[in-house]
Amino acid sequence: MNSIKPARIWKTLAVVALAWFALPSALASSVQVSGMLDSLEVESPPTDTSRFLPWSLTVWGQHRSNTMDHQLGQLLVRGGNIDRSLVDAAREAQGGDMGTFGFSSGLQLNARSRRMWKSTNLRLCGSIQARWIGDSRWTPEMYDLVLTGNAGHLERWDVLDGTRARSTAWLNAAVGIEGQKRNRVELGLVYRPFQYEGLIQTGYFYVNEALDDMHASMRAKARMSRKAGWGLALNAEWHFLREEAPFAFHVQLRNFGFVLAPNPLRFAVDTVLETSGLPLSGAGWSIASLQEEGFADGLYTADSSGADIQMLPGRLDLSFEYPLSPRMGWDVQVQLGEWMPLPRAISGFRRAFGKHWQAGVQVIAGGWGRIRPAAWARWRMPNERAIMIYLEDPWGWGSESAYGRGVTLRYESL
Amino acid sequence: MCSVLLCFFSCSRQPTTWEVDIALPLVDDLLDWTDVIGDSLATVESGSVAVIRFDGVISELDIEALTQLPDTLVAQELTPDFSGGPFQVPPGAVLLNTQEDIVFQGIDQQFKSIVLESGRIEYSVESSTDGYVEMQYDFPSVTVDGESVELYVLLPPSGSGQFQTETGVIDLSGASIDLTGVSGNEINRIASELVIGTPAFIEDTAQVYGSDSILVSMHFKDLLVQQVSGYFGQEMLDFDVEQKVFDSAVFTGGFLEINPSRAMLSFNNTLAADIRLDLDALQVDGIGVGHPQLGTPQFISRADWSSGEVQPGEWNMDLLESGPAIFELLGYLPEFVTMQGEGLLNPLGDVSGGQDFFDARQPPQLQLDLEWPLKGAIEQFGVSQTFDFGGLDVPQFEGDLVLRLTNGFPVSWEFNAEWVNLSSAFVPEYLDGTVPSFFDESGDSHVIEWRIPISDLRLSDPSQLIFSARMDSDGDVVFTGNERLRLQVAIEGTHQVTVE
Repeated sequence: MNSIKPARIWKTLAVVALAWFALPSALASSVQVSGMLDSLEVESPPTDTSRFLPWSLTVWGQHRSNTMDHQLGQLLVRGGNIDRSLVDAAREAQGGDMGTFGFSSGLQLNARSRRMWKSTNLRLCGSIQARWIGDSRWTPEMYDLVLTGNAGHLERWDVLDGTRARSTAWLNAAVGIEGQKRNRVELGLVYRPFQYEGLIQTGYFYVNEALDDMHASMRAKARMSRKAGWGLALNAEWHFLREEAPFAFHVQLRNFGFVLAPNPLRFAVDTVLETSGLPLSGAGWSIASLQEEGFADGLYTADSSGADIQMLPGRLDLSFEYPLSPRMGWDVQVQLGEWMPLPRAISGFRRAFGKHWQAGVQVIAGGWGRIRPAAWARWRMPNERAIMIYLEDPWGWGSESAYGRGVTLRYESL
Repeated sequence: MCSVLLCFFSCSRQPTTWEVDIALPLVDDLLDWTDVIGDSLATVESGSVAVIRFDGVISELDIEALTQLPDTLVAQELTPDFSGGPFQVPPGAVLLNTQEDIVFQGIDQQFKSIVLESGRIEYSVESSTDGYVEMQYDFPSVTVDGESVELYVLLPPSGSGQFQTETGVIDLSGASIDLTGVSGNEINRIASELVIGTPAFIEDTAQVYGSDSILVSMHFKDLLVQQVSGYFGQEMLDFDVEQKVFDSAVFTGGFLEINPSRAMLSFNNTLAADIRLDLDALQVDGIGVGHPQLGTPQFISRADWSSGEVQPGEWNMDLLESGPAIFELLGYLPEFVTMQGEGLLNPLGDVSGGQDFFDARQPPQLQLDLEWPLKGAIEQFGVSQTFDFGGLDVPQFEGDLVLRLTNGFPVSWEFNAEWVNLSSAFVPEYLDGTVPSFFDESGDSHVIEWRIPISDLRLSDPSQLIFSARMDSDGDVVFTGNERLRLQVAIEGTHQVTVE
């Protein structure tokens, strides 16, 4: 019989503790919470003895911008008069970078079977997701044009390239199998009720100081769904957990798939107007023809024939975790996709307090916003349940000048 | 959760508003010599001395007598020569077989052939015979796309006291019609062959009563001629030309010194028929202009179509020989030039032996060839233009309308501008002044700018800009044709954007 060496026991405990802390950390950082590992569970069957399957429910919502603070964003969404000082502050924050604003909200229900499937090490698993996300970006010049007008920067070429806005929502009902260490793969049926998107591929605007020379050009496209689309998506998780390794590594893929969108309404604009002013009358561009009905119809094309195959905004998460002590740990995570303009990088520190409480703090960079803090707390209840709350930029919740809000709540049976 | 919150937000959402500062050019329009000569066929050739050139048709002769044929109805009724009955008629029997000319009535000319631009035959066949009846109506002298027009109708037996009827239309667009009849020596006649009988291929014996009848009618309608030949007779032609010269709404008055280097009025006779032209009067806004050729019969020889291409007979009238000089009168910016008279076809009778020819696509034309160097004196030459604006929806706008006038003429312009809103809520805005010429020796700028305070209410109200200007050359001036008066309008101000 092999003897149990102290070093091995330490390593095992370290991995267990690491995974234990990793769960809320991953939940918090990803906002969208999925079945991240709890290594206590990895090593043991589900402890929830209720008649229900082991499950977890997560709801979340966040919006974030790198330029617009909460007050400005709230005015844009909820209405009201936007004072110029707010506009100027956001413009100063933007500098020469692209402005971004994005939101993500939804819920996810995960479950897995209590027993192994037949005599294998596999369990049946499944998940249901409802998601709504949005993404918009703008150049500094586009921001100036829309929110301050062009009079303040005559003689300047305003570049509008890359300005875009898009939003989509979908439901994903998936079933699959889960192996050891909660490695799992699921295939989901996707129902997408709507999606819209618009993009300025190239666009320029210029007016000189004498107000007798204007150049405006636009090559843009937009697409709107007219009917709900159906599709397929893959969800997968892989976890590297070894007793002999003093770290853990996780890969998670969500909503990697496509949707068939029937008869979407597609618009395209490709026009240039260079003028010192329009003639009062005449064919083509003139004051008289502008006032004629249907003039704008000739500026764009519209088409709704056929069907489009569109990729779902899937996401890939890569996590690395390292225990600092049996009760403390450090983790790093990178999230890619889901229409985020930049990969989202997260680094955090976590600690256990007693048998039932864990908490952690994080620093987040990328995504739609600037560098911001996050904090989370998890309470493991005596009845094999756990709840978790995660707040992004918690110090900004009472401030109008924060660049977004983010909250995640999770309830799970262990 | 977020969806619920956003839904809640959207339910209680107010409009989002913010202010933007806009500065945009709106209007840039030019008044140049093109506006002076209006929508005519004239062109301006730029150069050291600009030339206004008019070389085009000012009138075309439309000779209805040659291009429209009267509607003609041809009816054939076949009735038995007996009473009572029935008599049995076996299959394949011929009841009527006749070759006849269809005569076009009401034509004074002696046409031998025509090509139709459009037209049709509306036909109707009725039979009360108790048996199958067939009809074959052929028009060997009428061809469409090289095929002669033939009509075949088969009518089934009719019931007692009833008629079997078939109607239809034959399109004659592009049809070539020989009008010399069956004999080939007639005029205004179409040869036809009508056969009525019982069909041989149907085993049916017709029961014919004395009261039965078969009625065939062919109605030639709306025949418009493209080409016609024959003898056109001595047709009188009214010659009444009215040419608009200056629009009094645009050119309010003044005097232009007009000294054309060439001014030729010509008549091109494209008919293969002689014409005698009797021009009685040439008037400028009702003032008579004398000319040696007025009141004297002018004989214009026939066109030559022998090669297939027209070689028109030509007649010319040199307007430079007019007295009082027509151009003195034109210099006062008249509205109309009129010419009255009459023409007579074939004044010497049928000298060609019936070989007259006319193609309606190339009618006789009155042409003017005018060359006018833009050099001379201009006195109080006034121009007026009215521009309509349907209203511009720029909510919550406060700012200025910037008007800029740039004079590119070698003479100064005095101008008035009046901006009038159609509703009476706003007082009209008046502007006036003088824009010096672009080489003004006093050094004054030939660009003048005004700012008119405006609001969104005024912009959204339909309005008119009435612009008038007067030019006085104070002596002879040479124009190059590149002269422009430039009107620019820009808008500058603060606009409140509202997103509902």
